Amino acid sequence: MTNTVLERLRAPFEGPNTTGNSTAFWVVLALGVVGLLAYPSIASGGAAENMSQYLAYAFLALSLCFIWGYCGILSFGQVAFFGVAGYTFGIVAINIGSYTGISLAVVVALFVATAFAAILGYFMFYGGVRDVYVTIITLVVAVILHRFMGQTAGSEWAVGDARLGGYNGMVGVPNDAIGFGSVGIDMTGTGLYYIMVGTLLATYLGLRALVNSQFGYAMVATREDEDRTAMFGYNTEFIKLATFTFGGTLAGLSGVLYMFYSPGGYINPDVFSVSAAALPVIWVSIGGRKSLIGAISAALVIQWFNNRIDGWLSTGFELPALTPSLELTTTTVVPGNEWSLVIIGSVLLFVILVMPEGVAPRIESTVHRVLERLERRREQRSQSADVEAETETEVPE
Amino acid sequence: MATSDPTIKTTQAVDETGEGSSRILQTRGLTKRFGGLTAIDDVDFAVDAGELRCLIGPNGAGKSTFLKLLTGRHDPSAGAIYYNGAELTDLPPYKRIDRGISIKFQVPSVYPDLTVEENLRIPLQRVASKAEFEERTIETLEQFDLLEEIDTTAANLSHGQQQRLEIGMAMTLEPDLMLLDEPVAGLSVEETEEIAELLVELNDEDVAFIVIEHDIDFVASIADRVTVLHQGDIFTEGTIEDVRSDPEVKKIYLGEDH
Repeated sequence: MTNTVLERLRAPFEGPNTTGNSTAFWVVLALGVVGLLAYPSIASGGAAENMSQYLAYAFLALSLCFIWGYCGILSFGQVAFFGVAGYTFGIVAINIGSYTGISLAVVVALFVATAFAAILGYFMFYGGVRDVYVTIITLVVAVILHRFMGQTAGSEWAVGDARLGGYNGMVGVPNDAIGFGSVGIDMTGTGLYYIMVGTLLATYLGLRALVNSQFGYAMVATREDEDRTAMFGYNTEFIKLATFTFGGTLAGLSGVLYMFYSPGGYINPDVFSVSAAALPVIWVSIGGRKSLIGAISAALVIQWFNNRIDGWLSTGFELPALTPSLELTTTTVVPGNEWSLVIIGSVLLFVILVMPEGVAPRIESTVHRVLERLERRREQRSQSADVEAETETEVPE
Repeated sequence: MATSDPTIKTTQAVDETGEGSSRILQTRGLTKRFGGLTAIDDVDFAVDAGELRCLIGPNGAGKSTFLKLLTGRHDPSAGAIYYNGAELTDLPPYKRIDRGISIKFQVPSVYPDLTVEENLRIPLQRVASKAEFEERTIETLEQFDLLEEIDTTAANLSHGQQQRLEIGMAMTLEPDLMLLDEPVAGLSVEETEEIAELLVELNDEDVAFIVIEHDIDFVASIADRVTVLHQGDIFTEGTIEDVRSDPEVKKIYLGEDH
C-alpha cells in the first residue's frame, strides 16, 4: 500500500531523461538532503556560510545543465544572467532598503535576467544561430559585460543611490532580510542556508518533472536532431528560446541568492570574467551534463574543494605570490588562487578523457551493472540449488 | 491575390489552386536558385489525394531540393506551393507538418541515443493522449516489425530497421501526404519488397505519397504515376510503362549517370 503511494508520488519525477529512477537513488538523495541540513550543526559557522555560497552556485550549474544537457544549447555566458541579476538586485535594494524593497529587488532581478535571456535568445535562435556560434556569442556577451561594468568607476555611473563602482564593485547592498512591511525573514547565517537548501531541493524536483514531461522530450529531441524534430511539427526555435529563457531565470536566481550570501552585500565585474564563465561549464562537464543531480553535486564539491585548496596552500605552504588576494577569494566568484584552477582543470581533462558522459551517469551505470550481476548470480545459485535438489530426490529411485 | 503576381506563371495544368478538386498538393512556377545555379526551375507539379507518385531523375536533377521546398527546409526563390487549396509557401516547417504533411529524410534520421520507444514517443506525443501512448506504440511497432526492438537504442538498429523506424515515426502523425526520400536506399532485396508492400498498404488507407527513388524496379512495384525530373524541371510524366519506354528518358539517365 505505502509502496504504491510512494511510487505514484515518484512517478512525475522519474523517466529516461533523468539519472536515478530507483528506490536506492531516492534513499541516497534523502540521506544527502539530511546531511546538508545537518551540516551547520556539525561544521563551524564559517563553513556553513561558505556552503551557502556553493549552494547559490548550484543553481547556476542547474541552469547550464538544463539548457546544455537537455536542449543542446552550450552557453558559455550563464554568468551574464547571474551577474545582471546580482547587479539589478543591488541597484533596487540599495535604493529601497526596506524588507519590501528587498523582496521587490528579488522580483525585479529575476525579471531582468529572464528578459535579458529572452531578448538574447530571440535574436540568436530566430536569427538561425546554432551550435558553437551560440557558445561564442554568449561568451562575448559575458566579456562585454565584464569590460563595461569595469569602466563604471566614476561617480556618474550610479543608479539613484547605487554606485556601480567599476572593478571595485558595488558595496553595501542590503541583504539581511526579506519580507513585506514590518515582517521580515532573516536571510543570514544558517537561516539563509536552510532557505537555500529548501529552494534547491524544490528547484531540482521541479526540473526533474519538467525534463520528463512532454516539453522535456521536445527539448531532448531538439538536442538530438533539430531538423528531424522540426519535421515532426515541433517549433524548435521556440523550444530553444523557452529553454534558454528559463535557463536565464535559473542563473538569475543563482545571482540573487549569491547576493544574499555575499558578505557586505558586495558584487564586482569579476562575476562576468572568462574564468568565472568557465566554472559552470566545468561543473556540468564533470558532474554529467545530462544529470541534474550531477551538476549540483559537482558545483558543491568542486567549489568546496577549491576553497580548501586555497586554505591549504595559504596555511600549509609559503606561497605568498600565489595568493595575493585571499580577501577577495571569499567574496568573488573567481578564486584568486591559480593552483586550484590548475587542479580543477586537470580533473576536467581526466573526466572528459575517461568518462565523457560525466561522473554521475558513470556512477549510475556502474551501480546498475553491479546490481544486474548480483541478480544474475543469485538466479544461477537458486537454479543450481534446484538442480541439486532434483538430483537428490532422484537418487533413491 | 497570388494569381496577380507577375512572377508566377500560370499554365493550363495548374490554373486552379486545387480547392474543391482532388488535388492535395500543387506547385506553381516553383524555382530555387543557389547563387548562379538554378536547382529547381519553374516547376508546375500536382499530386492528387491518395495518389502514390514517384519522383525519379538522374543525380543532381533537383529531387531532394524539391522535397525540401515542399517541407519549408528551403525557401523558394519564386513560385508558390498549395496544399489542400491553401497556400503554404511562407509557412515555417512545423506549421506545414501540422497541416498534414510528413517526411522521411534521405539519410535515416532517427534519434540515435534514444530507444525505439522514446524515438516513437517524440512524434506520438504530438498527436496522441498519454493514455493512448502504449497502445499506439505497440500498434506502430508491430506494423513496422520492430516490436522486439522496443528497448533497443536506435543507433544499434540495422540500417533497414532504422529506415522502417523513421517511416513509422513519420506515419504516426497520420499525414495526408507523406514524402519519402529514398526509403529503400541500402536495403536488401527482401527488405525492399517489405517496404514496397508497406507503402502500398498505407497508400490504400488514402495517404498520398511522393517517393524519391533510384531503384526502378521498386518504383515499378508501387507507383501510380512517375514524374521524371531533369535539370531542375519536369522532363516527363506518366505511368511507369510510358516512362520506361521513353527513349529520351533513357538518354538523360545514360548521358548523366554513366
